[in-house]
Amino acid sequence: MKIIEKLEDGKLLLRVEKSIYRHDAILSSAYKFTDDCYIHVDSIDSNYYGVYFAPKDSTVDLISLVNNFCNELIDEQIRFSLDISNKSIKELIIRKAFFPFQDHEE
Amino acid sequence: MKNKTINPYIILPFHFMRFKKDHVLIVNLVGEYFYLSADDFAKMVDYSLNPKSDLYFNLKAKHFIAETLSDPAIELLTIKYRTKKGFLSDFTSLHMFVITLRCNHKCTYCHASSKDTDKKVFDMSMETAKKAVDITLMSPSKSIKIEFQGGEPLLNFETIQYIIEYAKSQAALKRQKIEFVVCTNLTLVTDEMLKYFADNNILLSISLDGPEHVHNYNRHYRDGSGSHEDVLRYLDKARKYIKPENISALMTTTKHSLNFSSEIVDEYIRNGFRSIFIRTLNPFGYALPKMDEIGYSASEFIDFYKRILDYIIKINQKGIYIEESFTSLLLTRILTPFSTGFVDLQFPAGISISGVIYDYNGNVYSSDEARMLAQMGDSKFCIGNLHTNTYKELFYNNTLQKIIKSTCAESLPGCSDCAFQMYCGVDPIRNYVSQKDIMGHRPTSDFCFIHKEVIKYLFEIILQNDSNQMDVFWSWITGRCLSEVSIN
Repeated sequence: MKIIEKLEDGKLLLRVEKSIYRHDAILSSAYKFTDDCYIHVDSIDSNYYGVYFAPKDSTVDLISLVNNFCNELIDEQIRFSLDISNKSIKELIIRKAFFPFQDHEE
Repeated sequence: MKNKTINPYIILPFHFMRFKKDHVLIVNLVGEYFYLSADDFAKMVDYSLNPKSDLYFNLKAKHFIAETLSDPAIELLTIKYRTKKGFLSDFTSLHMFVITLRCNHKCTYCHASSKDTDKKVFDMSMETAKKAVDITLMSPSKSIKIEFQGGEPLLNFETIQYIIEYAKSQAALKRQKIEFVVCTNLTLVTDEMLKYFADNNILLSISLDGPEHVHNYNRHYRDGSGSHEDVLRYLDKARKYIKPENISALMTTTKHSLNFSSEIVDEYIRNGFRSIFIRTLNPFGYALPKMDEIGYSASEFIDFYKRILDYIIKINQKGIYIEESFTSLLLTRILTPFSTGFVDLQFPAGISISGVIYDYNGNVYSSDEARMLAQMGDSKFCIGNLHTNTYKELFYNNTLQKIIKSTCAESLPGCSDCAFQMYCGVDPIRNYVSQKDIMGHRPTSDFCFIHKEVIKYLFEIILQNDSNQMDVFWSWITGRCLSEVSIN
């Protein structure tokens, strides 16, 4: 099975493994490419999401764009992972910043 | 990433972006940054840093990692975060009064859609002015700035005087600090007015778009003749009364300005200014139908900005102090812990939180752009009228709260994970005008592109860490001349 597959009408399909990437990381990455492409995200089966890319015009180098998307996806997944791991610290800092006396009273 | 329970250190909240080849820029919750190789970044987020390495100690010192939740770093971050967001408690400090729509100019890009000088029906009445002051001084902010706008405000000088006198007396009773700015083209100013401004320590903000051929292309009287010569003549006169630091100027960039970056700066220096504010065109009013003629792409503006900034830095290095005001604001955000609310660029948006505008007829708008939009027939962002609404109805209404909620960085796709979030901001009304949506679409937004590219360019300079350039930046942040901040 190919990770990147050429489809009819110049579209490309990228298969993204569900066990590695969160769907919100895929959506955040996709958002950043919506200037150049029409993007559709779907669940292909229990193991893979399918990301379908259709260029908005003929000047878009779709292969290069999908490769950049793959790198962006890694960054987005890191962001989500970090966000989960430091969510409580962020909340603690903001709570202490805006309600400085609350923690002392508790 | 390793299991949370056995992680050897805590990663504190931060955003990152790939920056240049194989490097990553990381920025924490309070805008402190660190630049590291992609390999080191991978180690950091994989909890594989060597705890005895310089990198580990540097990241710890810069508040990117901590060893325990009781680490003093977390307490420090808390204090710094509160300081950075301090502008939120300064609700609302900037109050703009549209004293009249009448103007003796009809500039190429006028966003205010000015009216002929004999149309006094477009003046703010004393009654409206009094109500505007009363509402202004209900703001919790202890430091209020009233900015007179137009049209040309000097055409309704009596009302300006009335507002200053009344606002001063009322602010004193409420122990609020108050200052006044008159935004004027200066070509109607008299000795009497200048004496009054000097006596009352009023600030003047004038428009100077560059040398004669640039200024006159953009800014002209209603008969079409350019105003450059008169502006400089009246500026000389104003300087006889008013302290130099109380007169500032800003310029608006049109397509015609793009090829004259150095000439524009030279004109400012020649006329004794210590700052210049490079502004983009606003897609409102008279400018809108002329965008083909006077507009430009976001990339063209960035090229212009880089050229003009490079030139300004070189001028400073020769010992002449002149700062680019917008750059200076961004540098303060990047290089210092201080709070810098700026109505046009903050999260959440500055609409009503930092600034509000009272139109000549008593209509109240959440920002200048909202008023411009109303001039074009869309009053979506009008939050009420001074004659029919109370302070609470104007500033705590549901519509406004909904807009403000939708402008928190955390809720905006493209901003929520942006490394420049702490330095940037959002303009929902500009989004609405240019993209038909107050949330906006970052990948196609000129506003986003321009701000990202400007901040990226500043980081390119900062990361070079060339003391000749950094000294100039520090001189702007501290408002001191280069010889005072240079360690060379």
